[in-house]
Amino acid sequence: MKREQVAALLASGAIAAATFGAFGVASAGPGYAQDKPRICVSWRHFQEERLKIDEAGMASVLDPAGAVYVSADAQSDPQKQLTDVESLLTGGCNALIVLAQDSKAILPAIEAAKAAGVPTIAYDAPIDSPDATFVSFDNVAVGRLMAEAMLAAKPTGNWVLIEGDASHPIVNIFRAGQMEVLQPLIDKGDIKIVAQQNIENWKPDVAQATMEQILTQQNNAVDAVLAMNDGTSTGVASALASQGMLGIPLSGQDGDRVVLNRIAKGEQTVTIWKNSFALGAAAAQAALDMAAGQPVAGAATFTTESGIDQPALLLEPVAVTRDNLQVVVDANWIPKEELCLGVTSNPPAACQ
Amino acid sequence: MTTLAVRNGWSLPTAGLDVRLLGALAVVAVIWLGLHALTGGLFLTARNLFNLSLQVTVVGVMTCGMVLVIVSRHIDLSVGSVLGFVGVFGALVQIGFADVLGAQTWWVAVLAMLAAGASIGALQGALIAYGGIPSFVVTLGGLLFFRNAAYFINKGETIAPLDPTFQLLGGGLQGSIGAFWSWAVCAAAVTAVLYAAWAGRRRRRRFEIATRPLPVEAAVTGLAVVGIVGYTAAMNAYAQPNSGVAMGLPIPVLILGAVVLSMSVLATRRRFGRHVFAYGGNPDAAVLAGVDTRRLTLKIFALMGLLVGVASVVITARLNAGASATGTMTELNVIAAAVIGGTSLAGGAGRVAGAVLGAIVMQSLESGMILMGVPSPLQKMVLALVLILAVWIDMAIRRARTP
Repeated sequence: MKREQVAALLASGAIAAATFGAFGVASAGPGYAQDKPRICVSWRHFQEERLKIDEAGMASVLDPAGAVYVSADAQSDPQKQLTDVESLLTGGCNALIVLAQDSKAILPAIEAAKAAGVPTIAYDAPIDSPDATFVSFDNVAVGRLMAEAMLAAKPTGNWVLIEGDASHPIVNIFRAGQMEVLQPLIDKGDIKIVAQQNIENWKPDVAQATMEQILTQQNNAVDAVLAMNDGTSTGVASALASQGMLGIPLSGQDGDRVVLNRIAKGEQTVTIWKNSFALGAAAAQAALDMAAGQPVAGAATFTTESGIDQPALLLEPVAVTRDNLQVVVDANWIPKEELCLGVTSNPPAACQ
Repeated sequence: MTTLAVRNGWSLPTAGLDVRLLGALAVVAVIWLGLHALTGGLFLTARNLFNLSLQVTVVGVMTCGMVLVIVSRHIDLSVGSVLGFVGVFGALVQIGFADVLGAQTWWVAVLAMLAAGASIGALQGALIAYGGIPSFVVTLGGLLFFRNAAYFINKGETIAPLDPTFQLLGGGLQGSIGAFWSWAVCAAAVTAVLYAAWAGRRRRRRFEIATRPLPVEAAVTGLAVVGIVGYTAAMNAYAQPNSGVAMGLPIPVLILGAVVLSMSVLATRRRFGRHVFAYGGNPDAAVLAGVDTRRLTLKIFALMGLLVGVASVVITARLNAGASATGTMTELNVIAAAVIGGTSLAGGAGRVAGAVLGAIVMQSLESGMILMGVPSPLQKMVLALVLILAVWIDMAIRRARTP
């Protein structure tokens, strides 16, 4: 055999071993026991800081109940997510949890689940179908709480809106919540929106460049920046720092650790924290209930953007400001040392 | 070559000038004046030029390497992902060893990031050169691998704040060298330009190659000098917002300048560069001429990786955070900048300076449109059209010049 052929054989062997190895870790092989409920989860894009916590929350309910957890990662691709769900259904599911990349493109998968008699949970992001049960945080409340906390810090003046990727429908939901609070003040003339930009893929570096341009455009006459998540607020904070403006009211969402640290240091006003451990646990419990053919406890009705009613379990998010930083420490979200790192003057209560 | 025709009398297109480069400069000038008018006089202010310089460095540095990659008939799709990965890695190094290293942290982190970038590049280059796998495939794998590795090594968590000295490398409030040193750098650059012009003429005369007519030489050199002095003056005119102290040249711009200069020399004045263009122009002929093309490919990708490391230092320091989403899709901006700057995707043709001008064109449009308040989807649509238009014009010029 030629050397190249040997190399090719070795390489394919290594790939095969790695693949099977990964499968082994992920699902412990196909030899599952049929009497245990199998809860299948299709993630939109597992590479997000918080989703590991969601997964841990699910495990906290599924493990004691003796349920089997199987998952797939669509890597932000709606097409792959359809195939993922099909594969999961083929493997056998008693309930399906879907964090959908696209609220409409996922519909064929929901149809397939319905045909297979598998109940579906739309996790965190909406799915436009009456057959899905929505388990999420109240995203209108996210926008509302964000705006309220910012208003408490700065009730008048020139505001900048830094929004998420224009192609993500959830951006409209967040904005609707913000405007519930802000629109009356905008109409009155107390608040002036001097600039508004969407940030491609919510990228921090793009948010930084965008904020630099806005500050140039406004000649620094900016009193508050309503940023929609913590990644973009990190970019905005760097742009503000290069103008010596760090400390003006700035919002975010997700409870990223660096942002919590910024709040402790007085460099950011608020982050909307969604305890995703609690969300994961709630979804797992709902999935177990539905797998057993029982109704979901505490479900209300949610109307999707296109007017479809579906049962929903909506958890209330928490606005974390310098006054209640203790909640994230108590929830083991961040160690106190990390939260208070570099806090020198005027420490918040949680750092004293 | 065209230079020979210059001996007897002269006309501008044949006066030993790179017409396409001058054309690109003219395009930049037109775009800047247009944006200046459309933004109500905001674009050509010291502050905006300062921002623009910082915003262009990351793509600018990487596009210098991308030119050589494309000239040698390869492509590197992994640069955006590697940019993010090296950034998170560098941030982890800083956080992890800050207690041990203290004030030495910043340069250890920089070296670690450069080494990581270069090793990743060399590894991909080795797979392409010695494994015989197409570069498209290897770097597509790199794109997926390193984007996910950037998430994996720190579970997607953003790491901040970073070492204060390290932050200077990204520009920012303190990251410029001040008025005095800016003028010093400016004087050195002007001297270098004048010396290069004089030495070039002398060398050409010694080898009895036609020189540019004196008025043309003076005009080109004068343009360069005015550009350097004008830019320095603009950066010094921009004052720190609170203290009012002049900012001067930002450190990332000095880094970009050093990269452009050394890459231009490497591409045009060194054997390595000549081999790259020879290979890109005609791979078979290069092999027959005795060029070790495998080794060459390895070196090209290692160099590309090193430049990604440099860009990663700048972007991480500038953002003051190691964030795993940094650089998503940036590979497309880098390739587009190289192509707008006249690099031929068929291989064999391209210029480092042209590619950097391409990056400046793209960033100017993007920054200018934000100043105008254009919504972000519309910005991307405009940039896409500009990309196609630029290549179309470039090809039309090329066809016209080679009958």
